[in-house]
Amino acid sequence: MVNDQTSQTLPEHKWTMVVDLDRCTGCSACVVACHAENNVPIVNEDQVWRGRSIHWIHLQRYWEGDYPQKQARFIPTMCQQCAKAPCEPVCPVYASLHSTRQNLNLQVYNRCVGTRYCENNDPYKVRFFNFYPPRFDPPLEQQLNPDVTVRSLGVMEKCTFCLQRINRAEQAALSEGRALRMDEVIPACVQTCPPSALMFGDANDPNSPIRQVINGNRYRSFRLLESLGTEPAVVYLKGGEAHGGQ
Amino acid sequence: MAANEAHLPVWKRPLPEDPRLARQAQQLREEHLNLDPRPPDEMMETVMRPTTRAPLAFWLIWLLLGGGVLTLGIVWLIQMIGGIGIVGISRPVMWAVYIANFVYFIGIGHAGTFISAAFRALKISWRGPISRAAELVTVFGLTTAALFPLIHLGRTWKGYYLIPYPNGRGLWPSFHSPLVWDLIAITTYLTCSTLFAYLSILPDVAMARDRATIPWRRRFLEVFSLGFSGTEGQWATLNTALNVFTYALIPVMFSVHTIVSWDFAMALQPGWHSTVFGPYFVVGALFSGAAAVIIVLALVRKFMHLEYFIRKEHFNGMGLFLLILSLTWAYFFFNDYLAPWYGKAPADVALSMRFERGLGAPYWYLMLFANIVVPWSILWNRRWRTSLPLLLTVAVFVNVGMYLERINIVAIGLGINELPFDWGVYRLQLPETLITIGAFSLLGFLFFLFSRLLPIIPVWEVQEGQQEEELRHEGAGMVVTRGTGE
Amino acid sequence: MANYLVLGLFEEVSSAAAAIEGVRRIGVPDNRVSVMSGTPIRSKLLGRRPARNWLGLMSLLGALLGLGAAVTLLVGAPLLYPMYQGGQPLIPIPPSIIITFELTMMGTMWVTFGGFWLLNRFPRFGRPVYDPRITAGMIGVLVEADEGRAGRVVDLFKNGNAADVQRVGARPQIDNRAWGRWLAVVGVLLGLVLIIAPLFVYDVIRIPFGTQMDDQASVPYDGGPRLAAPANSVPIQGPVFVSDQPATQPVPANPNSLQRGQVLFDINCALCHGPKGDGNGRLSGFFTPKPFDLTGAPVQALSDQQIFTVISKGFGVMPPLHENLDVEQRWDVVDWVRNLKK
Repeated sequence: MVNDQTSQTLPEHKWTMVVDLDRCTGCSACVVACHAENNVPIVNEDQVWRGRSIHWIHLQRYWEGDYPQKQARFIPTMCQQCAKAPCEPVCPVYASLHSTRQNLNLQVYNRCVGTRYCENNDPYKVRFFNFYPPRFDPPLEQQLNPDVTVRSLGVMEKCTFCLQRINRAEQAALSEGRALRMDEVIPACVQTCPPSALMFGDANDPNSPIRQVINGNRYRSFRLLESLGTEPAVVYLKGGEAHGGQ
Repeated sequence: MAANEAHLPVWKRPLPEDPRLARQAQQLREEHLNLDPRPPDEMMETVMRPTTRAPLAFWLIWLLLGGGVLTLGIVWLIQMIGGIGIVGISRPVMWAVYIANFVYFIGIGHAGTFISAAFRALKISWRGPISRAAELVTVFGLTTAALFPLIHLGRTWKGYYLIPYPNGRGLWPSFHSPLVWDLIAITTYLTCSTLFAYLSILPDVAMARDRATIPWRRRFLEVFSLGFSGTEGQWATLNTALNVFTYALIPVMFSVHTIVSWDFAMALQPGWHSTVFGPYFVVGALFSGAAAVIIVLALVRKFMHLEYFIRKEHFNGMGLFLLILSLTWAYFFFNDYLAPWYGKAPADVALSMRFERGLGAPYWYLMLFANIVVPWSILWNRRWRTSLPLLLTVAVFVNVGMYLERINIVAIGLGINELPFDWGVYRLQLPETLITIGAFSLLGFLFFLFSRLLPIIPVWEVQEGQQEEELRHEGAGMVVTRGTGE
Repeated sequence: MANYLVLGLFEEVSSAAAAIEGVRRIGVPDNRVSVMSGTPIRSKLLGRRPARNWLGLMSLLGALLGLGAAVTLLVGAPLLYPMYQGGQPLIPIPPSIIITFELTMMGTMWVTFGGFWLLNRFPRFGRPVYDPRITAGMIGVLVEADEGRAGRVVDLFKNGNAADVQRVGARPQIDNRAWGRWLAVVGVLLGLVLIIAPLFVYDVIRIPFGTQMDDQASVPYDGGPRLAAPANSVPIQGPVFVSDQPATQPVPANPNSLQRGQVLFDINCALCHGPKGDGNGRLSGFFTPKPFDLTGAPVQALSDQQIFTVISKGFGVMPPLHENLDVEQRWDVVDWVRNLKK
């Protein structure tokens, strides 16, 4: 827990994302939204070919079968915000640490020295490194979100569940002296998803919509690489042929 | 031996009259350094002569090595300014040649400590002349290795964040992280190996100081020797200090490479997450280190004309050591291979396929050939073991094999992980090659520098060994220590 | 009584041992005799008591120091500044064992090394009685004795097969003052480091770093746009209804423009809007609504582009004039219309 006074007065949240694979069409609108919201840089074609593209949320795509029955299976993957994150204890400088109040995995850009151990220990490989200084050619820098740090060369970055939006909503609620409403907090990808395949909320709150979704879909829910014991905060709901559909 | 001979130094005692005994005595003296004392002056002269005289080839090679070190510096600077992207790492292969180099250079240092500390504790008699060259492999190897954690950082200029120091922000490094364990362990090992080397060189520096004629060398040696004069108090404290260092450095040595192996073993990465990594890496380090020491000894013996000191018995001992280590390494390798093969976890199977049939196959099979087939087929035979060219070949193969072992684990192993969408391939780029060449150049450069200034053979330890040998055979009071050789 | 130092060099252990025994019999106390050699010789061989040294205890002290440092770091830092990682407790036991072991070893060895220097007063300053042949294998026996005994010692050595005997007036073997000064210099340097380093670490002296990410490329909420709007972008001065034309009058209202504008206005616009632009042209009575009063506030408040657009495309009953007037002419008319303002 980061040592701040306000944390004593604010409730503990368990931010959870639900990904309904039955609804996901693979349109990648979430990827674009995340780029726009979080100042995620674009790398050039050569770097993409070398495997250095940065997409905090991306669609893992697997091909099944042969032509003409070839099919693509995709899973939107973002930082799973594990409760027992393996990427955290290996960071030598506390750039990757855990917020016990938000139950999120924090990435402190200015502390990161770039050892890249966190990426090695991350079984989901959802962390991205800035191999070169990120470029925002003018006038694209006018589009950058001032709420989110623009990272420099040599730091790791990853999905934060749009922590800046969570903080904004909490501060607004705090300044107005009321409780946080669940519909106030919505990450960019969730906001954008056309078929509402992505859902977000506080699983600690028994009345929140996300709690209802999780409770109602236990028969088809799973988490990625559960056997590793990382306790991810992202719940996937089986869809398509994996669960009685087409 | 006749009574009147007892007061003669060994090199003056006549051979027995019986020709067969004479031949035997002669052969013993040739084979065993400890049975063949020479006047201390002569020994020191043999050791110090190469420091004052060097052929042109020496200077040319040293210049070349200096160029290599400069290359290291320049490429590193370019990498820091332009971005570490010029190197071949990518997602998911975030560690590659730099970390393999790091592990390799720390590894070759372990045999040095083993020879100078563990052999000393075990009172192995043939360790005498080779311990300093071995210790230097440790010190210089660790110095080179210590550069790589800085080189591979994304923000090298912030590397000081890893050092635990009180600061205005209340930020300390995370002791949960194996990299911080690395920092502490390697700092301990490097500083204490250097101090150990300094302690053991002190009497030799005094010896060289008393013999030096060139003024700047004399001044340098005077300062370096701290005024050591060989009094009983100084010898007693030196002995205690060396004992403390010996018995402390042995567990530190074992722990250092274990901690380096925990950089990998603590990860959930398939192929890394193995409990056998600790001892596997320690044995691997000793293995590659022994081979490196053999190469250094062979070069030093030939080019510095130290045939008196480094004899077949030393290469025989080192060759046997290498063979034992090769057997032990193969044992641990098999352990590490067997469990994933048996368990058939999908990611582990994918990794094994990459090594056995895929992109990593050439490196994997070459590693096995160099580490197992070559040593086992050559080192069992005493004649081959002591034949210098053959032993040198084996040592070079072992070094190549052990370097490949680290590349396999780090650069190729990271390409396979739990989710197949994230598999990748590592492609070597020019900056990494240049920096690796630069690192080897740095190692050589430091050796060349040392060889210009200080004695590379611990003459006092050789003399001590020879005196112990005499005491053992002939009893107290018969030990003649004298000097001038007339 | 003046004291003398006698140094005897011996070629072998037995003669050195015999000499030492002889010196003892003469009555010189053991602590006035010291033996120097190029290789360590067991004290038993020389008939001497082994020199006691406190280095072992200092090593133990070093181990405790290392242990203390480890415990301070491992317990102090997380308790003062708790940060959680990976589901591990704040003070995890296995990593703590590792760090404790390493730091204890480091402390042991560093303090041993330092103790070695201290106990032997290294580096040795001064002019000790010494002979280079000692490192060539001679054993040096140094005796400090008063005048009477010194002579007997010299004789004893000469009769005892000494290779060489020297006698000098007694002088201290170590210059303690010089050594003390050296220690003081080292202490001062260390102190300087300990004083200057915190200045940087506690941000008393700040070094600006380029990659501190202090300067962000993004535009903050309270900052305006940093660039001029590129061409074809929506201007802040007003809307653009006709593409390719700027929002504001590109032709300045110089006399030429005004004259041209006036002429064009009289030809094209005065019939309806009147020569003075007040909407009372000769044809104004035929239109409902009547042509606008160009001098009044509603029209003059329009932006240049709006007036331009009305001229180009027409407005209600007013016909478009883009075929009658080219672009520059229309802007000249706009100038004249502005000039009509009351």
